[in-house]
Amino acid sequence: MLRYILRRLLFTIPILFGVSVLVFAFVRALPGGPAIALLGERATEQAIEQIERDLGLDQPVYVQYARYMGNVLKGDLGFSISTRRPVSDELKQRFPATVELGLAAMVFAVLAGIPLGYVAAKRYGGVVDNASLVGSLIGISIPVFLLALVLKYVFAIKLGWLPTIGRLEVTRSVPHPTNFYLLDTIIAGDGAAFIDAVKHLILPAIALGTIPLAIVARITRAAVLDVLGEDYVRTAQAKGLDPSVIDRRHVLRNALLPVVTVIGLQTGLLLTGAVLTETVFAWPGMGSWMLNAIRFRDYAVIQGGILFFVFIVILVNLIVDISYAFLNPRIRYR
Amino acid sequence: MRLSTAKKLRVLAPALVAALVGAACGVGDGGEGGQDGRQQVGATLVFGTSADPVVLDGALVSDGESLRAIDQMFEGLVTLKAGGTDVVPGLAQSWEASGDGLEWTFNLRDGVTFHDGEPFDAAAVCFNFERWYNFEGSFQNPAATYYWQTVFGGFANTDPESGAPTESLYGGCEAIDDLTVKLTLTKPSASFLSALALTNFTFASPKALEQYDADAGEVDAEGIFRATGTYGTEHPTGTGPFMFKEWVRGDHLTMVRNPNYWGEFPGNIETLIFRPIADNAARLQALQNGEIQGYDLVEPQDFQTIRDAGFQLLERPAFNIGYIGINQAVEPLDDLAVRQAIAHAIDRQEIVDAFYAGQGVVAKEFMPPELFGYAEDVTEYPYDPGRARQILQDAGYELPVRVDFAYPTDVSRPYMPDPRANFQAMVADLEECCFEVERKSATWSPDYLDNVDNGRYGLYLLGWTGDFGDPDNFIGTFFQAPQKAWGFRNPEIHDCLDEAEVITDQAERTAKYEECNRIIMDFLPGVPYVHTKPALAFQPNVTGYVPSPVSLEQFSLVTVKEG
Repeated sequence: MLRYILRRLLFTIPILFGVSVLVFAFVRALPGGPAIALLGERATEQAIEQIERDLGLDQPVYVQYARYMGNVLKGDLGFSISTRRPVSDELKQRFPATVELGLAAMVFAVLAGIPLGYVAAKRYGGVVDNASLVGSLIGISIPVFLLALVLKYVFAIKLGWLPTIGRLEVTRSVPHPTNFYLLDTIIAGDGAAFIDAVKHLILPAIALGTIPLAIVARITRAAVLDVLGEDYVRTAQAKGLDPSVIDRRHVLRNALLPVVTVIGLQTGLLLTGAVLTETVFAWPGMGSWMLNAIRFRDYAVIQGGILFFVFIVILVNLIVDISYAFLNPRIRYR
Repeated sequence: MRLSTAKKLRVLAPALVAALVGAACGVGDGGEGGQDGRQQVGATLVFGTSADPVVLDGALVSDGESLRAIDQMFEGLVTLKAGGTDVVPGLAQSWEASGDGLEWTFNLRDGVTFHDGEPFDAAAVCFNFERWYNFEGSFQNPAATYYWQTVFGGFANTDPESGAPTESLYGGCEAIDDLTVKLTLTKPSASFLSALALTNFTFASPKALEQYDADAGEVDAEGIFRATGTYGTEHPTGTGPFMFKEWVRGDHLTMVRNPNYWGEFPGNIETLIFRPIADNAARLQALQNGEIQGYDLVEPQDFQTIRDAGFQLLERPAFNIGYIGINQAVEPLDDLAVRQAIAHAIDRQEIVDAFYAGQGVVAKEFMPPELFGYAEDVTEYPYDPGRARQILQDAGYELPVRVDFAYPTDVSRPYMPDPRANFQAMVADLEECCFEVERKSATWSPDYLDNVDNGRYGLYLLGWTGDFGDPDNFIGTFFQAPQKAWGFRNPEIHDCLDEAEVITDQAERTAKYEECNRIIMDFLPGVPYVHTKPALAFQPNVTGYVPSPVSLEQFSLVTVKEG
């Protein structure tokens, strides 16, 4: 198992290298450049040339790439021209925000999606089943920003229960050693701030988690239906095993394998796909940061951010693969 | 912006920043007092901005969100009257210029201290000027020191390759005594005093600048300057009514009232928080939900919602221009007859009525009517498709005449809230009259701007928001030197603007700019069509905010009532 993990980790090196080349070439192929993005209507030819010289953009691309990778290998992801800070500094603050939101969305999707899919399968063809099918179809197809607007309108503006922007009440002062706000508020021992952080998480997590919720529910339903027809389930029923034990030990556990795969894939997508949600909820995470970077042609941020994302997605997939071994003892990695 | 030598003396006449009374609303912890008994002491106001500041160092920014925050914490020798462009005393109580206009002596206020307790005096003024003048390396980059280069031109050691102007208006700074400072210019400048009202020329504590390494950093292997100090991000230190407390990027910037402020502080805000909310709908919802008490850049389609919900909608005086740019390098746009036909073919009034929610006025020249030098009697081109057809036929064209026309996507500007809607209406007018339009579009930044700047479009939608109250900032920016975007060289226009820029007599200067405007509108390098009044929204319990044409707005004037 350890060897397997090490081998998989080694594989990430050529992947990251390939991605870095692609991203590097891609951002430079975008029309315009940081100079025009920075200066907007105020860009003149002279000013553009001057900025490009300052940023080293007048150098051949392979020279720029060699310099960049040299720095990356030293753990330096570059310097953001739009925020004038090191990319890694910003990453430390932004990444936990996105992870917190992504995990909250996933928790929502899993806690709601698995029971929903399970119940739908058990009541195959019934009202719950049909309702969940229709519901998940809506969940998959509704645009995130529209869902966000509606959620905010209902739960914040009309009912006044929840906030619409940010991660914490701005007047609250809590130290942020980890930048995972739920964790930070617990470390600070501030119960009110913890509740506040949870309240700020709810709406964005629902908005972001709706698509994975629908997918998880549908996959769970299909997997449970499959397993229910298996011989070993019939055998268990025939020998008079308690139905709740059958469900727990034989049905759910086996049905979860494809669900875990989907959860893994979706988690990667959640991290990278939070752009809209973060923008609409003014959530200071990776998504809104990257969006801004693309607008400003902030090459270092785009490159560093994407490399980091790719690394995380690879890591999540690895964890998913490893978790198979725990769910299904027949799977052994060498 | 142009950073050429010719531009360095951009005159900033009346304008720049307007000080304003502020706004916002607040939530506050209560307390008693206030003139009407309902006013809270120690109110908190949360204001929704469109983005984070870049850095809180006035010398190094040109973006509106940085300037907005710096305006609350820093002050210059002079400032602008709230809501206008008249220059009034700031940290200098009075000043006088020598007969030749080269030496300016300022008498400073006594008893002013920086937020770190250091005295504000003549030495501090000179320290700041010398800092700006001696910027090197990446600080000479126009993205960093745009306004210094615009107003004062070059640096002590201008990098000849930097593209920055080689000459500087700045001649030196001398502390005569603690409260008297003399600034020397290398040549007379009509606009120097107004320029000093720019947020970029406000003063930072010399001690804080040094202590927190404002200028420290290194140029890395990629040629990028990496600031290593924390002055502009964690320790901005000025003399203004608010002091820096905390900045969590992407989340909030918190400022608190300066208890030792030398001047008047008519409002009641104790804690002022700027929250970046990039999405417009999210800003509106945050206002509706009471999470913010005010926000800037309200979109015209939201005006009615805001009024209906009982919020306040405040308008800034118009200080911008939306226009159809015409690139004369593209045939047949070099023909005046074609340009005139385009102007006559478009119903500008209808477009302004339809897409500006009552916030727009039809423009007839390339600068707002509030500015001196605006000519009432320029040639106008009223909507008249029949005449447009006639002009083209008389000039020997076969109808329809083919032109290409571009608009930007993914952008909303104060002068162009919905570019596509404007574009479609204009294309419909053009095609109905006598043109065949090839439609083009690109994302605003950087593709569209890149294409415009490099002369890749024939007709295009664009505009400009003024930085300061001088015609040079509008028509000088557009037409003083040939540009690829316009694709023409017209010595009559270029010379007129060159001459107007350096006239020091205000009446003479006004007359000259009026003349330039007449020449420009006869030549018709583009079709100006709208000036708009950008709007801010506030909760009903916020009073005292004074919108400024140049967005210099002070929250120290703002009162939040219990409500």
